[in-house]
Amino acid sequence: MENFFSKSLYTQGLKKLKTVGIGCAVTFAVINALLAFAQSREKYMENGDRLITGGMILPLGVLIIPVTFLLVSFAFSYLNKRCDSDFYHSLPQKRSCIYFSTLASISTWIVGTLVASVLLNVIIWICCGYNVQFLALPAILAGFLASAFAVASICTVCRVITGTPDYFFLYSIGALLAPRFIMCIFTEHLRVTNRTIIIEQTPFKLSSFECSLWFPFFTSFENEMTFFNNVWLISGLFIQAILFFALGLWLYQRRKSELAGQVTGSKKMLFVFRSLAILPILYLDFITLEEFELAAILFFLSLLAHFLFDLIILKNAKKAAKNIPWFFLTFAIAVVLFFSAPIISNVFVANNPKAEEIVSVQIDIPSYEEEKNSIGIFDHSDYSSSGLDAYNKLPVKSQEAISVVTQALNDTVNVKKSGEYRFRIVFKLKNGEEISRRVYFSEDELSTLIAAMKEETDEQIINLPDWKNITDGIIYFYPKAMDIDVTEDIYESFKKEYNALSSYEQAKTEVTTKPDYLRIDVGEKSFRFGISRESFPETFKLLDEIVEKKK
Amino acid sequence: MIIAKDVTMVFDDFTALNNLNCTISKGCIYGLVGSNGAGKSTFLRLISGIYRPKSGEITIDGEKVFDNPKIKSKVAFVPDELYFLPGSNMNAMANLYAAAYKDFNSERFYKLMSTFDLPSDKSINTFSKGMKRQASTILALSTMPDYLFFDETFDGLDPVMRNLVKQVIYSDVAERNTTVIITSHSLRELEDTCDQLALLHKGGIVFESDIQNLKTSLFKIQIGFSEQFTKEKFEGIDILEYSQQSSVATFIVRGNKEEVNKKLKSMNPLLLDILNLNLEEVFVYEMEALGYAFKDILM
Repeated sequence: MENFFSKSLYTQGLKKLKTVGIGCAVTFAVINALLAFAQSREKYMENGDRLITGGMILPLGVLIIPVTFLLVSFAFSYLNKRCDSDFYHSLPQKRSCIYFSTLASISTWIVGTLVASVLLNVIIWICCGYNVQFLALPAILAGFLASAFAVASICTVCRVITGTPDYFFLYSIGALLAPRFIMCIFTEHLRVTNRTIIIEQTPFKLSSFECSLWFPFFTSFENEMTFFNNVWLISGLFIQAILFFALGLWLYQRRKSELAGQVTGSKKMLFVFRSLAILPILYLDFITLEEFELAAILFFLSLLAHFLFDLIILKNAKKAAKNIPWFFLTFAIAVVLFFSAPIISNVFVANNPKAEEIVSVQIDIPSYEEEKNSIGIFDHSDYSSSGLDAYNKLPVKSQEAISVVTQALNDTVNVKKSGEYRFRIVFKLKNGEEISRRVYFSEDELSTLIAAMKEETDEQIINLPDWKNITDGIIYFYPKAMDIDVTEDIYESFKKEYNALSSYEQAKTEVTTKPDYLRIDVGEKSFRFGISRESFPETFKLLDEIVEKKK
Repeated sequence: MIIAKDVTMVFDDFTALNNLNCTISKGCIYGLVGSNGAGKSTFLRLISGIYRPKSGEITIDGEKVFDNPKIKSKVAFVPDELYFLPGSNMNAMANLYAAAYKDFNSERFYKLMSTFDLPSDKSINTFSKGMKRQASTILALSTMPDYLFFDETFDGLDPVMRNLVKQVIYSDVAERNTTVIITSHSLRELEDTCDQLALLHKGGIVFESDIQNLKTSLFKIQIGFSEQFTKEKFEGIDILEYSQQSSVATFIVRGNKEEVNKKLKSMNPLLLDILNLNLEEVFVYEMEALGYAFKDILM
């Protein structure tokens, strides 16, 4: 125990952090409380019994970072000055003991701040007359604590390797944001180099822009509720925190006391942080190589950034200039990253299926439940046309459909086709294997696929409901740029003409993004149909009459 | 016993200590003198376990010091730049020391506080520079250390306080065989206090000796004869520096004073004076004998 914890150092740490801790706790709690109160006034909360809303999580998530940063900064402030550092390192305590005792004091203030804020939140919700989900409290607290400790662990590592407060700040910001940013660019590059790759099915799902993980390396504010429901995510953050605290201990035990007051003692660390700052610019430079002028500008910008970074850190132009050759090592890393993207993406999408190997194909749109239980990584632009949910996960076995989809897949791979529609397609093979790819379709291709689905299934996939079941409906009539309410006459005319169409032509109405469309709501479901004069002449006649009357 | 073996310490491109070897016996008061940047503070920080040497080894009582609480609990270090917990008073500092040093003696602490007349409940921030130095010294002494290191501490104490501290040190050395290392710019200060003296220059110890030996090993002779004479007349006497003006010669001699006196008297000189040298003069001549110009070292 003596090697790891000293009560007196812990108590001293708590006292040292008193002013900062109370200030942060009060600010945090008050902002949280004000937002909770404001949220409770929102109309949409009338029927809600949720404790935390998405809007409230955002500020809490943002505030956690500066609160933990400040606590770590002040707790380890003795590392900024030689005489302070020497004093602590002269004490007859193991370095591990000093380290953990300091961490314990930081953790106490973090826990206290978060618990106080959440409890205040609860009180406000109750006072405003809402039912509070008490069962959700442990998950919410665990989520925030995991995030805070993850941030604190990164800041601690940065604190241990720097000797001044301003460079600790710079290094912390870099460590918290840069790796995430670089990995996001890399992941997007994976998608660009091979359009058929489904990032969510690769390890790179954690590094996509859509990922809602609260890892300090991966900061995103999408799908907050999925975070608090996900035990694996929260556990992962705690594990990350433990690993980085362990790294901090290892570095602290090796830290030279004489580093206090200096920027960083290690040239390797300087290289790492400098590279973190410059890699995004270099990577973007490579991505824009086709636009030579822009690429040239970015190259010189990255070289300038390299020099300026060293100038700010080392405060010496000669030394900064002397380090310029290291730029080319960072350049080499960027080159490796850039050229590894197509190689890596091909690993995940090697061996695209051939038509003769395929038993069936199906569109794969994630359900709300799947999305809620995920880490929020689904790319919503995958389904760009509403109403096609009805065809989700319906297998189609016709050779025509398989041929169209396979051709679309090959076009996506070979021609780098964009297409108007993008879907995840699951290919079921004769050998029992299932392969997923992202495929771009033109309107005709998708219509063929949908038509094949209609013909294969015995049931009408889209059953146009009876008029009495329709809760709302509009027609957007482009030439006149007007919305027209759907009347019974219009609807019955449309229904009659729709049912007379072939499967393919019906599919086209469901797929098309043409300006004129009819939308009907049946309860919570919504259906959208593109309409044209050629396919719906009678319906358009009625519309023209309405337009004339309105004149 | 403190043993430093082939110790090298480097800060960026600057070598503060270069293959330093040194043995400091238990119970001695060891003075370390050297110019600014010679490596005195670095050496003290190394043996206090604050720094880790780049190469070489430093042991106290046979064990390495760095990150060794068992050894560090026997060591008290009073640095040149002092640190106290922000906003603390002496009572708070005493509590911290008491928790960290198992041998911390509260009775001694309060007795010293009373002797030095320092307030225990007033914020240390309000203390003068000298008072802070006294405070740091009191805390160090109260830990009942086996090894006590002062980095230019005495230079900041007034003569009365200096004497008080010396008394406490002497009593600790006598009663508990405490080993004390004091660094200073002032040879005169160390001359009064220390048993052993070492000169640190450019990261290494260039000279180390017992102070008593130092003082008695060299002396100045002034001798005159009626007849002409040269330096050869004094063959057999270890002369470090010789000068002569007509029939009077002045020279610095290393050796046994009585024997040299007897030998010179047997030459029936007209004039014979044997003069003691002060420590600074001893150092100058010893350094010149080693090939250093002393003024170049300490200026």
